Amino acid sequence: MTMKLIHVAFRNISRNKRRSLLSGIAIAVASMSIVFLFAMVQGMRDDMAQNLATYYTGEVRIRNAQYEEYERYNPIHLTVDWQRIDQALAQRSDVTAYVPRITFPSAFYVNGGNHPAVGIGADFSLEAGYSDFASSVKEGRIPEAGKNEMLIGSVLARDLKLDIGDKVTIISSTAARGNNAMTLEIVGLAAFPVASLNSQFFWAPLDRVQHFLRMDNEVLEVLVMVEDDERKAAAAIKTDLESVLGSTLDIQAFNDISMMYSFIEIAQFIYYFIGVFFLLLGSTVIINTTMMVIYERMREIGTLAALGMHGKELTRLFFLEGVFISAIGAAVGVLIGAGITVYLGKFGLNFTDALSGIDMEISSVLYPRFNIWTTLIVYVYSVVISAAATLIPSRKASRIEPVEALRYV
Amino acid sequence: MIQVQNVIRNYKAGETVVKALKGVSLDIGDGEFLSIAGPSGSGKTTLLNLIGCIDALDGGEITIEGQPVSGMDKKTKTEFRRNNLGFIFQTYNLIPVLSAYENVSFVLSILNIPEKEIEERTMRILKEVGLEGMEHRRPDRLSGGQQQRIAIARALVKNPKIVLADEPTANLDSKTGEEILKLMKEMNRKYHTTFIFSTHDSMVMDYAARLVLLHDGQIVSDERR
Ligand SMILES: Nc1ncnc2c1ncn2[C@@H]1O[C@H](COP(=O)(O)OP(=O)(O)O)[C@@H](O)[C@H]1O
Ligand SMILES: [Mg+2]
Repeated sequence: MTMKLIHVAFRNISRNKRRSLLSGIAIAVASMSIVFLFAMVQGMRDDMAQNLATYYTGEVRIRNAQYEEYERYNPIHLTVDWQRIDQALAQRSDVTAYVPRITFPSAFYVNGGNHPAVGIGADFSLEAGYSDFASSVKEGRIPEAGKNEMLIGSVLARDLKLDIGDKVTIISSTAARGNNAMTLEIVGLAAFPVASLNSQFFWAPLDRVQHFLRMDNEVLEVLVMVEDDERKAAAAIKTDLESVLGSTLDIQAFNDISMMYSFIEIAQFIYYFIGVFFLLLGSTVIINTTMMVIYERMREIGTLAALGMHGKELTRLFFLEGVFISAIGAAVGVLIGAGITVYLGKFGLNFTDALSGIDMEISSVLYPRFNIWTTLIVYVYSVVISAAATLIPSRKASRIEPVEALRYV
Repeated sequence: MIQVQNVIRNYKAGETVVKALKGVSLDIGDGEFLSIAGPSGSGKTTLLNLIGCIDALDGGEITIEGQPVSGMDKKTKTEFRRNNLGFIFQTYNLIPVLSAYENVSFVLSILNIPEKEIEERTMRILKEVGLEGMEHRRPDRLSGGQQQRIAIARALVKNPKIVLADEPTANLDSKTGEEILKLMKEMNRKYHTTFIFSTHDSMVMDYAARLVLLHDGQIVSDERR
């Protein structure tokens, strides 16, 4: 009997081709959008994690324990002891790479005016082993240690009409709470994936910045890349370093530091609900279609009932038809969604204009992240939800009185 | 085998009540070939639906094979139809997406009969109604008469005790109608199946072995010939 029902239900799909197509398309569009949306959010999340780890906080960040409390006063004197941290981290097998950094606010004295810019003092020989730093250099070269040179964000350079070879005087307050000025020559233009890095930042050799800011062998932070779970690693490093340096350090995983990253994590969670909502919206079409089909085949329902088919079997007949349409529609949608995702995952989506002026650690070109499991789950969800939706009108078929159905024209 | 006792059926149409059957009594024996005749609106369909267990009585009782119909719930009625009754409709009512063969075999699938037996019985009945070689055609590729033959095969394939046919020839030209009646009569003789069919066509009435005339929801004559 069930086989026969499946058989009839399957053939019924082609009876109202246009309507079946419409239902199928609605479900396809919904599941396609969901696959793409999920891939996009995942891509965004991965991108942000990558940027945070590379440029902002590392996977684990080591700072002075008091820094956060005084952060808004620019507490440049709250440093950490680079040498001892270096020694300790070198022993750890779960640490894959680490770099010292000094990020400090400053002003460029250019064309008779002051322009804010954020400086980053970095050890470029260590940076090479930490990330693919060299690939961000668009023109020129990386500054050399011991020289008064800088690498400047290309947008910042363009805004201030600066170019390679120009000399810029920068002004900043020092760790000794005085003011200091230094002149650096631009030796390279940088193009980072994150817009704000290009429009606000410049990079200079760590030793020159330490000298300029009156820090001996101190740095403001150490960015660490680790093997596995960042939170666990942060805790382990903390115990380790505290045994050497006492509790003078603030050591945190990137996902605990960045508010924006937590937002994305929450957003990803919310997107699951948005996905369900999309599907429900798509399902209204199949609900509607099934309803119409039931009215259209009223006499047939009466006939089948007269021949001895139970209400439950009639419900199943229409339900199965809905299941087939959903399964086909969702399959098509998921495949197209996956196709788009894979394509854009290769070539990227350019959000330069949309993201310009937005201070977020997100790249201007985003790559949706294809994941076979997410895609399969979306498929199953799509079929389950839209099939469940067809159950609503299908149940009507079992409540129809055969006499009335047979009289229906 | 079928006792119709003082049956009443009223329809509510808004404020007014239409008395479709006003106390109809009738005894139908095994293997009869009975026509319920009467003008349009006389209550033929209503009576057939009540005997066919697809409608509910407002009064009186119908007993089929000793089983009173009034006490049956929806599920029991469905079960009863499934096992004992065959239906033929004026508009054939075949499933358009199924072939002639599948339309007929479907009924046996509902009864969970083994596939091999289904095939045997379906092929045999299709041959008997004269559709050999057309088993795989869908209804839309067959004439009205051929479609009604499928319907007859569909009604008979499960060897029901009773076949109910509401104006089975009304949509056919008179020649084809006659052929259908001849076929029904032949099946009636061969399988001893009780046929109850309604009509308002005098040609059709001529084929009946017993003619019950309805008028305004009441039986006005009942003659055997
Ligand atoms: N569902 C219904 N609602 C209201 N009146 C009905 C309904 N079905 C039948 N009737 C009325 O009952 C009477 C008998 O109808 P019916 O049994 O269909 O007659 P016949 O089949 O002989 O033409 C008619 O007057 C018809 O209008
Ligand atoms: Mg009628």
